[in-house]
Amino acid sequence: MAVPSLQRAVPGWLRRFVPRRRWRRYPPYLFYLFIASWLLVGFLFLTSAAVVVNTVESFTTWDGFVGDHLHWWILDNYQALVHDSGLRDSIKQTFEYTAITVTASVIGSLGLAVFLNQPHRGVRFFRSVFYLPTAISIVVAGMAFATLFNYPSGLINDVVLHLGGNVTDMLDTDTAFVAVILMSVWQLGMGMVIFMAGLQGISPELLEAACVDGSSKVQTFFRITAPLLSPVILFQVITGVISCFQAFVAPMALRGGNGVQSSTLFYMLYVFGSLAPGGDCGYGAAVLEIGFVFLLVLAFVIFRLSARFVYYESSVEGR
Amino acid sequence: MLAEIQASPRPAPFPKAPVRLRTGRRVTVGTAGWWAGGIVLSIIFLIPVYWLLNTALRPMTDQAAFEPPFWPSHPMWHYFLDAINSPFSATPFWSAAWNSARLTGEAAGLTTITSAMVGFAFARLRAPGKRFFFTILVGTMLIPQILYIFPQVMMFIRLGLYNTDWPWILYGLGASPYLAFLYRQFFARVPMEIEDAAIVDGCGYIRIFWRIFMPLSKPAIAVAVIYSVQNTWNDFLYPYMFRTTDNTTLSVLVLNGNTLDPLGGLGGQLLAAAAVMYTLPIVLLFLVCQRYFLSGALVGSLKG
Repeated sequence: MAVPSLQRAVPGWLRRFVPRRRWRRYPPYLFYLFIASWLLVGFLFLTSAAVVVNTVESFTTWDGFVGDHLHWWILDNYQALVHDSGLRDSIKQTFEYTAITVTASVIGSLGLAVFLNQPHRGVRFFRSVFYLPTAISIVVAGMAFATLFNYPSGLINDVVLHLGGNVTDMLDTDTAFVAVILMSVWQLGMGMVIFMAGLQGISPELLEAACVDGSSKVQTFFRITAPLLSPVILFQVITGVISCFQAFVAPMALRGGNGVQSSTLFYMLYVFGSLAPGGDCGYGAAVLEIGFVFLLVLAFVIFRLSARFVYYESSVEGR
Repeated sequence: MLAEIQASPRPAPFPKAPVRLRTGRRVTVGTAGWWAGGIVLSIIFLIPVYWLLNTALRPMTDQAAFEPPFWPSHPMWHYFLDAINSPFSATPFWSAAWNSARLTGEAAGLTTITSAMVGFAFARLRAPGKRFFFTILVGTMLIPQILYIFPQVMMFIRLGLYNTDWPWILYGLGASPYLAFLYRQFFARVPMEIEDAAIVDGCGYIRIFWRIFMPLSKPAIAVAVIYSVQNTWNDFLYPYMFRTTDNTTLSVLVLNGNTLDPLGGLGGQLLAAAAVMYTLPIVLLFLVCQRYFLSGALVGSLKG
């Protein structure tokens, strides 16, 4: 580009105060132009504003209708949280559900991934079959499991009857909890695919070396494959916990909107119940605030951890 | 010199996979066992779907019966037509289907583009504060959307956006951090020379993005489209929260039908038929574009 003429025009001692016009590939604000849509709508409006609205709401008492039914009620909502036994139960149930579901799906998806990693014909066929439940909507998954556990024409009752048991309405009892877990584990395709990618990332030389050294297949799996996959397993556990925490639609889909059993009244459903208009929305917001705090703490812990276990691929940082 | 190089023996290729003797198409005991295991697992995975289909095709008289036949003796295919005309909820079937399709198009179309822009910015552009915003992007990935929904309902009602398409358009504009990540990985691999050549030819960065990077990343676009179409079509929460029941999508229609007249009741077969029809487009899409679904599953696990 042309040599800046203003630089030459001013006396030498002034030159360093005259901005030098360098040629640039792009104006410095271009980055912000490209992320503007996400930053303004996605981050500031849909995320940050929502958190602020909820936090402010949690300090009020409000019936949820648009209008002037709002009163400030500082901290009373949070005091009430401590004595809310329904909330405590829902959190306990969510933790139980999360622990069982995450353990079962991580083990199950790793098992299926190992199964599909064998050199046989038909891997792709089985892979599609195992992934199919993940592709369909959770609403339909819930309906499918409802037909299985149904009273009286469900398949499970059918089997129970053949074995000489009594037909019961399983979705009206605590069995609904088991049904929700089975349904969540059934949709483990995503974890399976991630584990398959992880397994393919293990260098064959390593497995071969183990084989040459006389290690059995089981030994190789527990001594070599599993340790090498440990970052993937940790990732699966974290995403599993986050997704189980959101459990909301699954119990609803199983028995329609109004039939949620107390054994499947998870945290998110409890939030939903307490936020219903006409109730105390301020209190509901305080209940929801627990979730925000929990996940923010979790996110912070993950960030700290990820520095240790995540491998950062080098990328073009732009010029 | 050249001949010398060519004549030098090439290093023997290191055997990458364990050497397996190719014994033709002979089915060994191991393969047979593997297949048997696979078929048993497949049956376990497919039974819930089959039983839903079975419920949809079973005659009405068998609905509430004990021990219904494993194969419906006379499949009632006309239940699918009946389900379309049956009032499960205040929304007619076709208008719910149109709502589903329209909202999916709006959200998926916009997300695909806006996420690409974010991915491009993080892969190719530099600015003060970039690292900070990258941390935020990763952070928003870790906090599930469902937490924001409840305050968002209040916001949308206040702004008069409740029961309109605006929430989906806003979600589309808001981009998906996962897909932004996917694009970032993809764009980062494009050689710098292409960018340089475009600049020499007088091409600005907006045009570089739209005319060079987007056409180059067709596989990433396909994954992004499939991923967001699947998510929006399958989604229950947003239509449930942001729309009234007389103007809703197929997912809410199906679930509300289950609320009003739970499966196992006399209307169960129509409800099951509606559920099958609701999920059929996504199953067909999965069978056709499976590759992109599987890549979409990996989107969340991308590192870097």
